Amino acid sequence: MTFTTEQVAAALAAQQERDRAAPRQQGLARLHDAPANHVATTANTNACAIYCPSEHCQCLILRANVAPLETVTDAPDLAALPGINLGAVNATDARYYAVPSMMHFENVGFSKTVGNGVKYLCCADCDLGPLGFMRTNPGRTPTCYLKVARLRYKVPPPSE
Amino acid sequence: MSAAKSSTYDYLIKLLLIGDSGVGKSCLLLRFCDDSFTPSFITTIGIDFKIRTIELDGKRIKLQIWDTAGQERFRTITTAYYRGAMGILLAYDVTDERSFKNIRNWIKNIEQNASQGVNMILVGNKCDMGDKKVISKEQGQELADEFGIKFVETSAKSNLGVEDAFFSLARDIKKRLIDTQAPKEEKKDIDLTQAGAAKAPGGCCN
Repeated sequence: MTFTTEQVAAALAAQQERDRAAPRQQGLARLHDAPANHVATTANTNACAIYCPSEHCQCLILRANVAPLETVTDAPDLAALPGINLGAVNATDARYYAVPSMMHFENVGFSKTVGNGVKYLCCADCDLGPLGFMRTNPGRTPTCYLKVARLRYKVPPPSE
Repeated sequence: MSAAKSSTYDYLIKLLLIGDSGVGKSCLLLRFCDDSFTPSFITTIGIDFKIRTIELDGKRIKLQIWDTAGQERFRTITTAYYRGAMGILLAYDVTDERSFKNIRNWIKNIEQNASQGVNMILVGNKCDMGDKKVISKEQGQELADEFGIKFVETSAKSNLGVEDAFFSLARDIKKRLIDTQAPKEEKKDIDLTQAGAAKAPGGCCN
């Protein structure tokens, strides 16, 4: 299957237009206080599509059923999100989605590597972050960790 | 829907942003598909690259867009950085003549290090609205014509022309590579320990 240059250009432009013109996503909710079956499927992957936490943004970060839910106890500290009140959950909720590799994301940004080999994840549209992290030290897996307490999701979850 | 199916893609296109420090490459990177402009912890550190997914007639195309991450200060953008790059946005600041003159050096660097036939586009960027323009649109076009590449003028803060720049490049790459290659030929792991590590945040957005 091949595309002509014109088809590609038209499709890119059309998608961009749709994204811009789309009404605000309805039913995007904070994930940290969601019912357990919204957070993970019975197979322990993210039950719902994951979006940027900002109400002013509707960037799709991860599709449903891509990343297993894990508890991470040695995560680097994540700075506050400007304009978003995370409350106490930021410190107490250690749940992360373990995205197998960067290519599993729909849209995401990676910060430069800082300190001890950490890259922080951010929204690809508005740069809000950190939403999670990955470690680039030699020997580390390419897994990227998205912090559940910092995300929004689309409800209801897809039926399994 | 299985885990594998939901995250698969058909093509990966690697794009680079290249040019002198301070020409607003970071602005270009951060402004792609974006209407808001909110400095944050992340913009202070600087963004290394972004992953973007585009769908086209049922085909999923992932764009990986890299910034030079400050390496350009030492004029030592290495072969490793260019490896696998299919498209390059060559950026200068329309208020900074030196950055414009250096485009020729960057093109030399690209010719020496990047794979042959890599698609390029020249981007005249104006990141800071307060500065005065010293390089005219005609000058930019002339330079682009000399090297046979496309040209676009952008203003990253108002989003003018940024999309044009990316679309134009993606379109050319698609024409050159994807319309002729087998799916997933370019799918490779990215070595972050070499190409991604950087010390100093750069650009005008910090």
